[in-house]
Amino acid sequence: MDLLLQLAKNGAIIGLLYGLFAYGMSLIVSTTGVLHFAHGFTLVGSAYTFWWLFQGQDVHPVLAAALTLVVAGAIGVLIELGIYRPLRRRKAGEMTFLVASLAVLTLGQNFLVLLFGTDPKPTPPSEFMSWSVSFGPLLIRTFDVLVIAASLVAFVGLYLLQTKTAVGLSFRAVGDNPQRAETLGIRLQHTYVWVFLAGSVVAGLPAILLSVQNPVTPSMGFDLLVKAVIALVIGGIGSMPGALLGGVLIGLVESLAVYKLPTHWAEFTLFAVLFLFVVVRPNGLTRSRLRSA
Amino acid sequence: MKFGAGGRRWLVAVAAVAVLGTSACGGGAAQGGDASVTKDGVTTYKMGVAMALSGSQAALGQDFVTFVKYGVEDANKEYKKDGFQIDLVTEDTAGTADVGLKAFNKLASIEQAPVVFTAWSAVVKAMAPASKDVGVALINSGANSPELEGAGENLRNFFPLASNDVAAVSTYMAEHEKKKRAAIIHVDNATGQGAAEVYKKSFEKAGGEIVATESIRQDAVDASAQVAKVLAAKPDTIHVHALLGEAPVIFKALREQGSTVPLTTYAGLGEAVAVRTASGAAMDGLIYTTLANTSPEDPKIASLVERFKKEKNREPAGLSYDVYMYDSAFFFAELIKGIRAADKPVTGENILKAIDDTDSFPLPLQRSTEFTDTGIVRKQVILKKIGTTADNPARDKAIATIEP
Repeated sequence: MDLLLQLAKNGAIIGLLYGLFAYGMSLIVSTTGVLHFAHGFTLVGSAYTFWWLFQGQDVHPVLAAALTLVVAGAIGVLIELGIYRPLRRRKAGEMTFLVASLAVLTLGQNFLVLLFGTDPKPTPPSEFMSWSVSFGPLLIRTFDVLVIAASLVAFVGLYLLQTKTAVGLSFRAVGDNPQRAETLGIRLQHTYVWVFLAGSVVAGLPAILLSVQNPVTPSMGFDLLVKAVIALVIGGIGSMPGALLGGVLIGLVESLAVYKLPTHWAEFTLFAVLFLFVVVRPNGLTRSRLRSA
Repeated sequence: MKFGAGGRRWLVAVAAVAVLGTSACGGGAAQGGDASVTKDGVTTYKMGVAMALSGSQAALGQDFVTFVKYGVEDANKEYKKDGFQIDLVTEDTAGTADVGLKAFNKLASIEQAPVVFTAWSAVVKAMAPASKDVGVALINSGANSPELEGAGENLRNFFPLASNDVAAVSTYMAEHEKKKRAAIIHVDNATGQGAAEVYKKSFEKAGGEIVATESIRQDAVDASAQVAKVLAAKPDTIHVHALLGEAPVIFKALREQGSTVPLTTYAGLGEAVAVRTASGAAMDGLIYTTLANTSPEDPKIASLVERFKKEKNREPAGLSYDVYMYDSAFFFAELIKGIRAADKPVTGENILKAIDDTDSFPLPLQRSTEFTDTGIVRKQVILKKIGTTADNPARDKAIATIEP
């Protein structure tokens, strides 16, 4: 029973991390209709930024984290302005957006290799990150607390943004029907820039959390990207709460599956669940649908 | 028969595709053959080297190539009097089987190298059948899965396999440290699976019991589930056999979940500065195997490390592996010398025959190496213990020396 509880806690935490990444991606997908795989590059680029500021330049971790979020937002905005906007002007099809997104991911990773080399960039464990406390069989670490806090901040922040601000409301209007939103006076291109900014800043959070926990490598974004896409499919592509829910669900499935099964069955179980969702509930736990770019 | 401009272009395109297809499929007639070039009385032989130069294993792979390069430079000076030199040709395997196979095909078909040196068990396993098909000698100079013993007719293992060092540390923990309940966490590929099997057999043979075995995916970002399961089995020692990407995650998870169980691993992790930095105190007190003398008191080792540090401004990532990489150039030079003395061409076939027919090869760092009948080498295993991870790996204390 102790092991089951510990596995459930571990699964929920890693699931929140997946969900956090999927959350930003979902915001972009639901508003723009672009399946933004380059979100993986935003994550890796942000992770390298944090590592470089914190380890390379000796910047205070809080300041380094704040600057990383700025860089994350800038990466997203640059991708929108430099790649997606020209494609939109040329009325490119969905497949072109998809290929462009994958190309940005791959080129971006290779650019990081040129810049930083391929060797893993570790952040030495600190006293702060080594703290932990036990609640019966449950061990809670600094990392767990940070993941929960970051998820809460992202969830509440984006909820307020989307319900209480004009720019946030425009995300929903454009996501629902861009032509109608435009006739109502919402500037589409303006909204797209804002949504890429907001979604990418959210991707900066798991990037910072991962870089203090694991060595940073150019390929680190891919695993999380796969999990984020699974979370989106399970949660419902384009649904904000669905992304977070999907992330937590896949974290729990991965972790709890190994309670009785050998650990190498975790991924098989996860994909079996994904397959089940695709067949039985193709729109995911929530009913949002992806519209075309 | 006459062709118009369009027809000629079509024919040229077909011919180009045919040529490219032939080379890509490894259909060149001269593969594994003697592709040496003689100029001004000096014959140049290509040495194919396929290592992980990208991806999560690149930190080791790039250093491996640097040490092979040092070896080639020094061997070319030493063997100049014998009328030949080595031309190093490198390709990237990314440490994976599929990229590795492409790298091998390029070295064998396009570069026409009679020999390919490589590492990483999954890569060596993938290349082994192809090396037989094209008649190229395949030399494992850094992979340790026991499955590589006899894995291919054209494969020879210049680097000792886990049946050498993992068996030694497993037996040491059972017999010397009196551990009775071991657990294993291994990467889920040929490297980890093979080592786990060897550890299990040796530990059980020495009277111990394996209470848990858990695997982890290469480059995984979380190991908390594996560690929780392993600790729930209450082991008195844990062997970790993973790669650079996921290893710090395992060590950190062990520490975070309050484990004080003695840990063991191999040089690929124990000596890796990036793993030590990322894992921090989680690796303090860890025992690991090394298969080469990397003492800074050895003048040759000290000079090589100094050369590396001057060039790269950092410590090498896996020094005991680098010893084999440096020596591999001299090993190839010795083979060339022997084959030329017998007045034969330096082909893949003749390289393999020379390895099988020669009792011992003199090498600058290992002193010498001898192959068994099954194409492997067995070396002295030095067990080292990490004091604190911040220390230079070369300064880790040797706690035992186990003869093969």
